[in-house]
Amino acid sequence: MSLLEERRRGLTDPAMAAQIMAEIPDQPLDTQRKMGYYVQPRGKRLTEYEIMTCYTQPTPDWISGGLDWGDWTQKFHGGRSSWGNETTELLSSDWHLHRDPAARWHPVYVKAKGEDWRVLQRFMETFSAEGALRTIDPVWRDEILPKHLGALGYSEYGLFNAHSSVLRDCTGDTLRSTFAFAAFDKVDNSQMTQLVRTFIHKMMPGYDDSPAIGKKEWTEGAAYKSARETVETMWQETYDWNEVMFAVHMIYDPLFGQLVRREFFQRLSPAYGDSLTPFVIAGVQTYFQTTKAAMADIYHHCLDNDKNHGGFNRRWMHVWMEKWLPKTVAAMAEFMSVYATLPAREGFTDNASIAASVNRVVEDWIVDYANKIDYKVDQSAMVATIMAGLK
Amino acid sequence: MAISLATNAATDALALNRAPTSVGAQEVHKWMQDFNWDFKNNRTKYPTKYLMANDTKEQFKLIAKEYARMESVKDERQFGSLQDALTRMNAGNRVAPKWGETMKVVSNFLEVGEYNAIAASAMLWDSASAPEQKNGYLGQVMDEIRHTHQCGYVNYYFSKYFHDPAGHTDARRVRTLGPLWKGMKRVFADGFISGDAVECSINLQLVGEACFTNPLIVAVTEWASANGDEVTPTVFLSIETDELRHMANGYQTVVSIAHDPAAAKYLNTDLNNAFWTQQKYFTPVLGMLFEYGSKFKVEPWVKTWNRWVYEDWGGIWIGRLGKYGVQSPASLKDAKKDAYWAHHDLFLLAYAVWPTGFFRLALPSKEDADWFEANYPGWYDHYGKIYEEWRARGCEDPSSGFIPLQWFVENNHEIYIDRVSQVPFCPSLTKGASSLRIHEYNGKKHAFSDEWGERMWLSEPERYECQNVFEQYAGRELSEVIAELWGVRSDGVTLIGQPHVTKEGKLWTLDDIKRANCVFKDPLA
Amino acid sequence: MTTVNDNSYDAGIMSLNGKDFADEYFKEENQVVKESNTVVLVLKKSDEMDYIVEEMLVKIFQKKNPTLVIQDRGGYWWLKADNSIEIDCEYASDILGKPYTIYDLLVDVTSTVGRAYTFGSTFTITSELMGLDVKLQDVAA
Repeated sequence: MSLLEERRRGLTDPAMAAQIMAEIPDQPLDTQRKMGYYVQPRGKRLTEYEIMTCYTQPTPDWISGGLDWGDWTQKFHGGRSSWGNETTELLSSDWHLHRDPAARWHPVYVKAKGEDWRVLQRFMETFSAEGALRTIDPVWRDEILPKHLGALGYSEYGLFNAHSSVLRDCTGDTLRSTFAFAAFDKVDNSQMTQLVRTFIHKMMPGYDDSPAIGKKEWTEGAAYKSARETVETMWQETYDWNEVMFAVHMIYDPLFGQLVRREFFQRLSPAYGDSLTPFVIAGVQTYFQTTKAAMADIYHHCLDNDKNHGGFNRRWMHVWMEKWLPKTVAAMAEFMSVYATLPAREGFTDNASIAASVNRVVEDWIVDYANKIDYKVDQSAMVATIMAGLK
Repeated sequence: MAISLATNAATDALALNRAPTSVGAQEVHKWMQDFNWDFKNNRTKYPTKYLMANDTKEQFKLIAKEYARMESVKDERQFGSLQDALTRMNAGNRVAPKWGETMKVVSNFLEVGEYNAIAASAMLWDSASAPEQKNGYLGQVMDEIRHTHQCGYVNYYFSKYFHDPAGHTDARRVRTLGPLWKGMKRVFADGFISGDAVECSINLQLVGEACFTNPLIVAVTEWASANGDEVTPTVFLSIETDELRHMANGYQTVVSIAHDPAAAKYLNTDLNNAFWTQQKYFTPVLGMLFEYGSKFKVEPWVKTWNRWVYEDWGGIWIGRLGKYGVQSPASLKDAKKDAYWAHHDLFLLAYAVWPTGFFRLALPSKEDADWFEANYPGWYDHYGKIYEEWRARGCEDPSSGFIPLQWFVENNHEIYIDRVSQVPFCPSLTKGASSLRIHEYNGKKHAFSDEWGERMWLSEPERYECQNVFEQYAGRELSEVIAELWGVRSDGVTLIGQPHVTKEGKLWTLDDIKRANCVFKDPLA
Repeated sequence: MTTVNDNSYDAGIMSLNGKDFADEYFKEENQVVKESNTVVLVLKKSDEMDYIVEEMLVKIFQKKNPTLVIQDRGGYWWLKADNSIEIDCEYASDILGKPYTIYDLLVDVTSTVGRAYTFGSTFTITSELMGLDVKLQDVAA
């Protein structure tokens, strides 16, 4: 800069730098240079993710794993704790044990999503230049996407909001970042469902991209009554932060979410000439898989296997299964009615194809979730209950 | 199924545009306010006595993906500088020793504030009803995770390169030892997350961030840069690029309640309480760290405070909101007095208990003393003489067996800890706005240093009963407590805290402390 | 080149030292906040920001708003002005010779005192009470 005066700095000003250097000892004063050397690594050695994240939660030792002592310096009106063991039914020998298998700390997380955004923008440029919108079936484009991709956006938005109290109340640092990234993905998903329709609007001015149609479907449509009520209950009526996360990520999302995203939009879009929606949903599914692995670490690896409280925790997880699974199954059964509104496509919309879809979702869930905590589910009965919703 | 008539008609009217296009963040964001829906139990889990409006908007219009892109560009710059140019210049070591010690505290204590702010922003996201406002708070949740990691990274970087890594490597474990820790939690941790949601927002965003992050995160970089530290500006200036959205969140919190009659009743009290709570700790601690923790001085702390807190925050935020009933904080006069003197009061105590620190401290040099006297006339007669006496008694040398805490005992200068702020004070030596008050509650005595905290206590004592370090360790010998709370270096005997930063000076060990036979004592017992 | 006026970093009481400063600082009239219609902007030094400061703010915006003061504070540029400061990122993109969006600008906008917001490609910091006295707008899609 030539126009403005510059200030002197200790690193570059020769006189200041010389004075500083004269004070620096020839040898370091300690040989231990590993930050967080007292943290138990999950693998052979500490990762940067562990160093940055572990023990940032400043809880006292009466919350398992805490390094501080004593009481809270300010409490809620009436004297409730800042953080407390009473905020969840589950017990842990150490709330700092969880590790995200993807080792995400903030820069790792935003870099990936920022890349997704750049790729998506390049994809949109190409898609519009190709006129690829022309191949989309008009019913799919003008009725299904506004109604049902719109409704999915509300489901994702509600799930996103179910994370707010969890992020306020949970008692571990690695837990908090995992839950935060899952929450951010959920709001991102809801925004991406909007983006698909706004993008169509830009290519086809006059196309209504307002969320109103999806909102009406979500709030008034019979296909979403149970889904909506389940989401509302997770969001605003459930106070135990582990129960909220278990209900969202171990039951509702891998069942209802997977049915709608993977089996409905991802599988059916090609049948209606839609290559836009699957591209966007593919990103959503990447987030789902990353979150799934992180949640499995929390609920299976850490809490179900807890050396002191594993059995106790498992009993609670079974209780939550009993509470949330029927609601989720009802949501899936009601969603079946949407298939009847689709223009028929052989191999996609016939009952056998739909049953295969439902079976894939249920089977995946039993293998990856129910079996892991030894929760017994009758796959064919569950599939039959869901399929009964098919009109 | 046949295409419906309505769809058919709509389709016929549409023409396809094949110009390459994509969708920008603001084009998605404009629909965000419609993402909510009403339902029976749609209410927050963290009630507030204020009513937050449903139509509150967000000033920066970000969506998740654009946020991520923007932040990763920030990270590319920040980590690029640190891992490349600054490492090649060995910049992590070419830092004035006193300042490298200061950053052990600044970075780690800020990290705690950032970490708690994750939970605080999440609570606000829960309590807000407008989707744009929720979106703003969500962005802040993510930012606070970023800042937690960035603060950790500063300690991590200095652990690798600074000539005294102890304290940088283990601040998260050893920090609970010193008497500054609980005060930091009051202002920076619990004060953000435990209470009425809007009250917490006022603490965190309208006061903590809009007011005190400017001296804490911006002005600190100028001190860092003067003292050879280019690591801190690289990280902290990048942290602060997110803070402006948080200040906007705090302002929008006020916007969202501006038309609620409850605001007229409660806002000024909550604002004054928040201002006092934040200033009570930040004012002395930052002033102390800057002026006593640096070799090269930038400007007197009181001037930094006057500019950022009084003139700019006071005039541009609070003054401008005057027509909506927001008043100048009633505690401002006391705060100004603190801004002039309280950091000098605090350093006297901090140095006296140096063995409980996770950083090395240094007595003011002759050059420092001249600077203090020129900028704070009267400094030498009150404080300077005491430091001369301590130095003459050999307080820097382990063989002297003299820890300045003993001088307080010998001279009947009792040290108390204010129950509400958890900030230590010595009533017989203070020049700031502190004076002693004692109340009994639940069969226990509690000391207070000012009428503002005393008022908070009297109206809600159950919120502030936390025991302090003197009570927790009453009757325990100092070296025992230091060992128990991991206050030693990797050799197992040398203290992390030291009373000097000289090359020649010897380092104190647990045995040296044991010989001094200092025992924790609760002055109220 | 820096304009010295009431908005300077060391203006007013800040130009005083020692006892003179203390006398002014502790005056009874200075114990309440005083409304100000200024804004403060802190810009992190960087390749792009240095160029924007010089080519847009010093050479152009300062002529439009002569109350604008820009000073070097080590790692950052400190700016203060009456009423408002604006940066148009389309113009910035032009002079930088590369795509430079409003969100690229925000990468190096370190701090604000005043109401800052984005609208399209323009960044504004204003002393207006946005959302109270003046409505915040959305872009048209």
